[in-house]
Amino acid sequence: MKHVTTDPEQRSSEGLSLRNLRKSYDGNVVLHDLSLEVGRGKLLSLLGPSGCGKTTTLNLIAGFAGMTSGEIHLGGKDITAEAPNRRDTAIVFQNYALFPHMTVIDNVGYGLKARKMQGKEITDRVSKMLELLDIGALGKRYPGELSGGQQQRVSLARAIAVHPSLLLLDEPLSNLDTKLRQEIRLEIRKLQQELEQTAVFVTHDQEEALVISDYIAVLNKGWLEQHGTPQELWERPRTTYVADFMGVENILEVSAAGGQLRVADGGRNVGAVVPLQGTNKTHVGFRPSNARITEAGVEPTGSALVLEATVTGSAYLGTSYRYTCNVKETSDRPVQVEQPAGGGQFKPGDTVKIVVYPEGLLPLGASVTASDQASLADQTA
Amino acid sequence: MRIQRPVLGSITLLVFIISLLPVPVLVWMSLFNQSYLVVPPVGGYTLDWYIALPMQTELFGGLTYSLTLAAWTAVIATTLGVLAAFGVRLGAIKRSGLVENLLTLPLTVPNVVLSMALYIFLFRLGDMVGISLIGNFYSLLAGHVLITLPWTFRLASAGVLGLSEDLERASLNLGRGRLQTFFRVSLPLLKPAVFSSAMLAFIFSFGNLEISLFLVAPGETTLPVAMMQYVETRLDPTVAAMAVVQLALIVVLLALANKLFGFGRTFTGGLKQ
Repeated sequence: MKHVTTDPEQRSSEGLSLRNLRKSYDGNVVLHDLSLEVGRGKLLSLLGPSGCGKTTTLNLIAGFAGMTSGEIHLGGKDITAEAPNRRDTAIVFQNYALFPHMTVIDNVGYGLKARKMQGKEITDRVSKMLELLDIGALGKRYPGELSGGQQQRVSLARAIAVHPSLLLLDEPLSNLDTKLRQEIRLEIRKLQQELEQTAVFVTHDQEEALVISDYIAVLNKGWLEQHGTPQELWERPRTTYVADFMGVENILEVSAAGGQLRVADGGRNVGAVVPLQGTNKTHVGFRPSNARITEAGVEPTGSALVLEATVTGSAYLGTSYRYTCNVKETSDRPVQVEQPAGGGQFKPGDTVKIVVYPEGLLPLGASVTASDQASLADQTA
Repeated sequence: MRIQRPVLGSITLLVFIISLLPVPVLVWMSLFNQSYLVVPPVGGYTLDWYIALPMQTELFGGLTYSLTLAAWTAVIATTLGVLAAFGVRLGAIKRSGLVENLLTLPLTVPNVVLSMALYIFLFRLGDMVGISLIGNFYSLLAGHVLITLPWTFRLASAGVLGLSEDLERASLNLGRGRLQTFFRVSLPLLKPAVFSSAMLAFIFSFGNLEISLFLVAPGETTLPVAMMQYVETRLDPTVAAMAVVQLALIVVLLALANKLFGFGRTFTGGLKQ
């Protein structure tokens, strides 16, 4: 991708602001008073599984669906009541939605003609866009004659050609194979940063969101679970739902007593001192790589969460071993532990101790659902 | 039950022969050198009937009148059909299927009954408003639009269903209004469906006898009506010759339409994605 200089013409210093967006169908609320800010030139990812409300949010921003209540501001203007064609957003669709009866040049120039630009200006802008996305040779082709990756690039070129106040990306990479997906997401990120393009990116892929975003908003059944930078979400997930999305494979229910976290009903588990943040933490989570596995007799040094367990499976991953263990009297979910290769090795059936030091433990609240909105209000306040 | 290939083939062939047999017979009879129709011909063969056709002002007047009527019917029925198809997609009652079924209802009523009902309706209505609504070109046109609309609507619906809503959204999103989006994106993509429904409406209208019989204006007459009136008094190969001309016209139209727009693509909306 070539370097590009942005023209900051007619761009406001303000980005996107969603204020208490609510959407319900026949009394069914699918989006619960969502409020988010996206600074100018930043990329926000809406992350969650299908049905979490991320596509609904995108459609509300684009104006394809009316919202039940709330306001949308873009570039300092209230666009809540604007028609879709007057919002100055540009979408990259999941299926690309290229006009099949137009050439690549006409597709990319479509939004420019709609903006009443002059012929010469359009030609120049279109060729600049095609060059920017390395599709200069495809100008005279029709979408039906292009590969998925090429269609994706045309779709991106068509959207950014109009220099929109806001770029909307609706799972744009989900129809591509893994290698191409990783390649194009980096290109999108680079382009977005070079153009200082404010953008909202919808995805269900946690890794994609981490790589591409300035901010990530995790949605769950229409509720905002957590909002922050990729680092914040990775290092300090607040709820079990977010933790699960961020690769925290081991989540245990705990009870807090005397400054210590205890695994619920875990009579044989040794307590550990874990810094408690907030009062509504009901779970503790840790990543497989943050736990150490030792022989049953070894005592940990200092305070730590210690779980007695039985190894039920092991897998060699090259640089490490991954063990699946059953922890007595706790969750029904087996605990995953990753250990650097080269140390001691355990076999299925071995009785072991799993040790997690406080810095590896993540105190987590219960997932946000309709019933405990009060706790969410506390968190976000 | 599985039908054996040769058996299936023979049945198909038989059906084809039976349904297409009238065509060669018609051509054959139009060449009889005699002024009445008996088979086999007694007087040999001649092209005289074709040569004399231009003198049959009754029939030829009917031909131009029918062509005009069919053209207007095609334009109006197709426009309404396309609009209805879009309306049904947009509408809140689209899931109920009520509109679709109402629009196809005229198909289930025999043409003669429909024509008579329409005649009585227009007669009474004209009586009430004090203007005669029957026996003019417009009521005839309305009748023809009525019987062709179910077909144009069905074909247009198939096209509209194959149209991705995301394409229209993309157009709106890039700054085009609803109307511009319709003319620049939706309609161009519906071209095959639009032209095949226009063609179908044209052919249906061109060959329709029942509606025209009831609603035709005095002094004016469509080709099928003129032909019927002709055979009421004479039974010579003139009508057969005229029918061959009519047939040739339709075959040319169909071939043209197929070449230009391809009927086969209609049901996929002609999309290449």
